[in-house]
Amino acid sequence: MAKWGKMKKIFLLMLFLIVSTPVCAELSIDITGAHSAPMATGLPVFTFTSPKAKDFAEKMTKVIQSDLESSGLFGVIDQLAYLQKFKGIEDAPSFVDWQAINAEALIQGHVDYLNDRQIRVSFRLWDVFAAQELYSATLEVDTNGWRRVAHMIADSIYKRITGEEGYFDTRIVYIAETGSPLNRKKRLAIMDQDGENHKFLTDGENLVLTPRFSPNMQQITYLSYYNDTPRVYLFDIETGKQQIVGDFPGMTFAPRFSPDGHKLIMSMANNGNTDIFEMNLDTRAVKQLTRSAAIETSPCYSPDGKKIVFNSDRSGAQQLYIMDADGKNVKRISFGKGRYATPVWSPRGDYIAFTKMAGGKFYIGVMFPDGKGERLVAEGYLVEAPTWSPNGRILMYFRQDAPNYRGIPGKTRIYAVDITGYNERRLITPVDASDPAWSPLLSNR
Amino acid sequence: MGLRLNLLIRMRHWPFLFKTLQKVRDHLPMVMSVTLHAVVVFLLTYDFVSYQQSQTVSVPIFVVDLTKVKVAEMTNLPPKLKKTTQKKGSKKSVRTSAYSKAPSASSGKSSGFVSSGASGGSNTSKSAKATATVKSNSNAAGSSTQSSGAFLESELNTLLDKVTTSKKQDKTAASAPASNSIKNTSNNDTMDDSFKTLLASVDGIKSGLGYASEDEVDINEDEMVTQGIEGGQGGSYMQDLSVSEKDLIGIKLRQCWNIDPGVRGAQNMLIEIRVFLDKTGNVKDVKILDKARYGKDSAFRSVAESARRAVYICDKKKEDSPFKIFPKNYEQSYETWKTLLLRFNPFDGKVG
Repeated sequence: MAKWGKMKKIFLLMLFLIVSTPVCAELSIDITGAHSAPMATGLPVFTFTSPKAKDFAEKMTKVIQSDLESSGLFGVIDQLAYLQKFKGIEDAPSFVDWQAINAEALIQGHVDYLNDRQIRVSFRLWDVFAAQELYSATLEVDTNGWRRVAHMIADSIYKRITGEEGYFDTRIVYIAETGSPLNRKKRLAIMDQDGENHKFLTDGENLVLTPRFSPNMQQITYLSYYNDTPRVYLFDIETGKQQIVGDFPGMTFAPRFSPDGHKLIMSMANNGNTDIFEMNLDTRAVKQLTRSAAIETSPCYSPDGKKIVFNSDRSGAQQLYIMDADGKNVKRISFGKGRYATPVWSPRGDYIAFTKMAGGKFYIGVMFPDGKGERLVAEGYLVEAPTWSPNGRILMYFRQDAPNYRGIPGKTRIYAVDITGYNERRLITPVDASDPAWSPLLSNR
Repeated sequence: MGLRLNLLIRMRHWPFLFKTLQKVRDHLPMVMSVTLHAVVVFLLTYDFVSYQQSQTVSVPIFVVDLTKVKVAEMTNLPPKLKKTTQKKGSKKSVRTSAYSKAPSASSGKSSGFVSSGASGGSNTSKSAKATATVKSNSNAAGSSTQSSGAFLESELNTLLDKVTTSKKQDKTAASAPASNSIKNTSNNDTMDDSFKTLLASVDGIKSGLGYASEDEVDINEDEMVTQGIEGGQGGSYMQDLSVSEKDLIGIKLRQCWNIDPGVRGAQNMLIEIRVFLDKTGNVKDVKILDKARYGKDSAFRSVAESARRAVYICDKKKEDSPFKIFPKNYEQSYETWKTLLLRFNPFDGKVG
């Protein structure tokens, strides 16, 4: 019976093949590859109702423009080229005028001054060539928070155009370096991602290194040489209080939070052997994850918290390894020439960034979590300590120039580069800067 | 009975026969499939052979003076037949076929057959080309939609067959007047083009056979426009773009397509977009096809919107728009390009 069923099927198939006549297919064309250039954007100064709102409108437009341009994905067209002048947020754009100056996107905004404390900001994002509104929003905010609101607007625009979360409403914590090379002062400092609102967090009495944000943005963990003993500390941003993380027999370093913020992972050197330990911040219970005679350090969780990437010299040279969060299934992922260090898992999970030392140079690179697709995005005499933007698009790191002819070390500065390797930018800091750490998005806190 | 038993006893020694039968039973669907395939292949082959035979025409030997025939540049895109010089609304009894009528109706832009044979170039040594054009038109006659010219030609073929048979029957009665009429009409200087004489001679043959009287039809001016060989209405002259034209469109669109190369998963994206064009090659509408993914995958939405933008940006380039190639080269086959399926692939899967 089943056989007949099968035969019937075959017969019907054949009948179909015989009977079916060729149908005229739609003309199709393949477009493979594209070019990449900053998206030409029209951003006229936000309109305003009262003279008091004028100042805010101008300042906010400037911040939004600076944010968008710093991403390398937007190119704001000069104000003088605009053919249409808006009078308010209700003014419909004349798309022909914007097409004429090749604007692909248009941002239209308006600021209302409500009272001494509050302003209302409205904005609309347009696709000029498709003549469509892509996004619009109205925000009522405190006048002191105008800068953050501008960053949030830039984030919304970035997200709508690129499909990725923005990163403009974020902060950077870093090590501010001052003094002579022999008597170097290293202080913890914090600022907005665009360099504004700069603030020193520690006084520089003790050397501090490798600061890292907690996912809830409340705390920073770092290494401090308090009493000349390197230990991992926690710093509360709100209260300014510091506390030591556990009392370990040896030196603890390279701390990092787990994605849920409840655990801290770090290295501990004891009796000449360095292994990776995990500490539960709620219970203070400590668990050893690696047990090897080699040096294991720089651990970092994957965004889902299930894996840990770290570097180890168990093979003879410093290479990258991956293991489960409980320390099992250790697997080597880097096999290139040179040494690999400071691996950092991207917040979106698709890449691992690392520092590479090869041929007398330092590199910052990215690879897929399986070790394939290694790509170097920056190089220099010393480039180190990559940190990801919260959307996993930008890598920030510090760069030190080669010593001059008198042997004085070069300046250390913070740079940011897109993961594609394009659009490298220097972050302006008041003093020399190293070891940057990027915060999560403030508005997601 | 004895014989049967004997046979069975003998077959006992050939167990493979039973096994073979058993195997055939086991694989009945496969056997059926193979058989049916064979039948289909046979039918197709048979059909093809019979088709070929039906198309073969035994042409009798004619002595036709082609030295005076003017041959134009070859073209496979026959232009439209121009309006006749007749007054609007006036009807004329046309005795001859459209071939002999067409030259008077055509000047520079006449029907393909006529223009390639009669109007245009003066080089008489291109008779081979003329023959080739005739051939191509006879092929067109065999295609699905027959133009009136093509129809007449097939009619001519039948006619020529008849001529052959009648030749055999009575040489003096049929073939001699026919050849005479060729000579007579070819010497007629009142006509503009020499090639008309050849066409007219066909009518001569017809009249010689008493055949033309059946052709007497009334046609008005509107009909005249569609008369003659025009590649057939909806003919298959433009089925598809050439590879180089497709490439050109692809390259132009690529230049308009600006994407963010770091977008998540861009290496695995294929964006299908349907573009609706008007007859002048301007974009009427653009639709992103994978609406489900567009709605939930923000990275896909970003890339898809950039592809849509690329279509609009290219469209705004006016004469440099990639879609202008259609009204320029394929004006008559608007139905084939009024919607296009564009497949945008950012990286060709090569980004690691």
